[in-house]
Amino acid sequence: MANPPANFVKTCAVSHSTLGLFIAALLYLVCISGSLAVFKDDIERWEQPLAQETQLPPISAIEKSFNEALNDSQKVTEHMYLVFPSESLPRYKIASEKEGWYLNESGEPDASAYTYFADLLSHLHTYLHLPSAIGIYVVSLMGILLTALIISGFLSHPNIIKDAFKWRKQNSARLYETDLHNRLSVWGAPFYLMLAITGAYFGFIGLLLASFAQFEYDGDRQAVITEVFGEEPKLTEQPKYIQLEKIIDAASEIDSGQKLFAVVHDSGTDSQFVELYIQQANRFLYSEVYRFDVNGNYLGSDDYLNGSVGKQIGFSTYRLHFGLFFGFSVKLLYFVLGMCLTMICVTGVNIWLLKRKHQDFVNPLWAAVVWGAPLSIIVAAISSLILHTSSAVSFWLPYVLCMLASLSSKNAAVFKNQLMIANAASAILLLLVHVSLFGWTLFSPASILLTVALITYVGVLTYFLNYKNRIGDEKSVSKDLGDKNTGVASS
Amino acid sequence: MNAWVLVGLITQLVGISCFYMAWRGLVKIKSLFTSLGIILEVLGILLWCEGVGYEFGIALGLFSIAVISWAIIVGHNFSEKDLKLKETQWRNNHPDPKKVYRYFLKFIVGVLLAGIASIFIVTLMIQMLPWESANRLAFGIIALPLLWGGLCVWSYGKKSLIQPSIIMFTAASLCSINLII
Repeated sequence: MANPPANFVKTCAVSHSTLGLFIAALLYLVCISGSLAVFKDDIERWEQPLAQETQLPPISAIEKSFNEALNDSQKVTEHMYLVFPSESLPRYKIASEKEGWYLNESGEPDASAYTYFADLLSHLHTYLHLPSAIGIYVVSLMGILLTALIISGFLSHPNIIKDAFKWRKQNSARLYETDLHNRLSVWGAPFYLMLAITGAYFGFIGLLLASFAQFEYDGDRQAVITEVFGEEPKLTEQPKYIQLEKIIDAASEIDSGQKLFAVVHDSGTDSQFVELYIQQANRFLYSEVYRFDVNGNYLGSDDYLNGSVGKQIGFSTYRLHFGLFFGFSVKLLYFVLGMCLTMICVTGVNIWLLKRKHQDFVNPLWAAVVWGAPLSIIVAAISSLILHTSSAVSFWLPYVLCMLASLSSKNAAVFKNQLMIANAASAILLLLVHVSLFGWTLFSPASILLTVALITYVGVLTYFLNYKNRIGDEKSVSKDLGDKNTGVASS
Repeated sequence: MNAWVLVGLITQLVGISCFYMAWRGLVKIKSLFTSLGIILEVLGILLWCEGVGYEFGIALGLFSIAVISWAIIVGHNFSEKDLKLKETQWRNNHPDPKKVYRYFLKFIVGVLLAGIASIFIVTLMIQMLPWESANRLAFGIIALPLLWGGLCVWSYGKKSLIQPSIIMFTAASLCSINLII
């Protein structure tokens, strides 16, 4: 196959590096938070490890509690939810639009569902903690620009196939970072492209729908939504009491899939009705949606299972993007691949820093961006556990402080080491805080995953800190670690 | 683990090993090994599909290629030798306002204008398709990032922003006029 013209390759390379540098920090934040958000359910369990998981209550008891919540003016909101137990979150939960409660073995609301840290992390990934109307577009724009980076990355490397297995580790730091960047990028490209396109979907489907409605339906967005998703039932004179057990029995006769949750629409009004979300095995579809009146009479479904291809694609995006299929093994795969994309962001900027052959304020600042993010995430987890808040300040305050501190550093390598030590220390502190709040539940089924993850993280950081010091002993960068005016540039 | 998945993974591993031998120059008949690698990768994905259904099979089969390849790369490049890092001097640089301004302009043209142009182009495209609304929107949402990304790459690669600005503005205007009339 003939190589593309040199000018074209150069143009693509310029485009790739300029665009990459421009969005690196934001893309890095979206990637690292997304990789962790794959375990949102597990984080939710870890935040409240004392909730009942072993003896699940009977449906009749849940029905009673659910109706009590619906009739409680302090708790009820327009939509009320009953979340069924799943492999990753084996608990019953009743939730309003504002708060939630786990149910004990008698079906009574027992412990409040603390999801502060899980929410904080998922909001960081979904909105970057910006107001949701703006944040969703900014994050989805990252999906578009990631697509651009994938396209330009492939076009700017004519030897990408020939070099597909090359990793020059001993020659120079720049070649090391370049090969790592390229190898991670090439082989993971199908996954990254999927993430980019599905990520763009969440924000821009609304914009595309509005634009489509403007020209095709005279601006009537509701008309498009009704045509695609069907119309909501219009009920009257519905009784207050919801026959949950009847609804679940009726749904089980129609569909034997995994029940995800039930939603009551227009809760407490005469027009209330129930939607039951049931997920299918071996399908990416988030679920089929079945509608019932409060007495358990079947009203119809949204027909995602047999609906048009477009409808199925749209409703399959969520599970595909977040790796919510096939249990823990796929979550782990998504985490590994997501962290590889995070590393690609880091190595991309490192290549540029190493090309410059000097250091300035950008080097320690980039170290702060990279190592300050996990540190701030851990600090936010500590404050969520202690203060019961999802405040974005708990993440952004330490993050901005890290960046400000970087401005006083004149050696990126030393500053990076300090941040790594701070990361390890804060991870240990987080474990201690968890013990002090919930006792020795660290190795209970609800907490073990995050406990092991935090211990592993501390272990990895310790290894890399020792590794760097070992290099220092061999005098390859000894001056870098000791002399305030020199250092290596990579993070 | 599902037996089909296990066989699929092994097939993919052999397929990637074929790529490795061909692209690292370890065999003389490179094209044969490359072709064999492609066949085995496709076969591996088909085995995944047999094990977990075609939707999960295609996705997981494609994603697992990355993990297998990285394992081969790390395995064949494992070295105890440490990386030699060069010392670099510190300079008290400050952001160059001209560069910042140019970055800002590139963002306006390469991201925002490219976005507007691609939304209009995609809307016009999906309006012309003879499908039902849901299918047209699904096509649009897949086409949008690819078109927007492509325009972004093109304009970011240009030294002058005038040509991309004119072309994308014209495309957006023509599409919007076409949509209105």
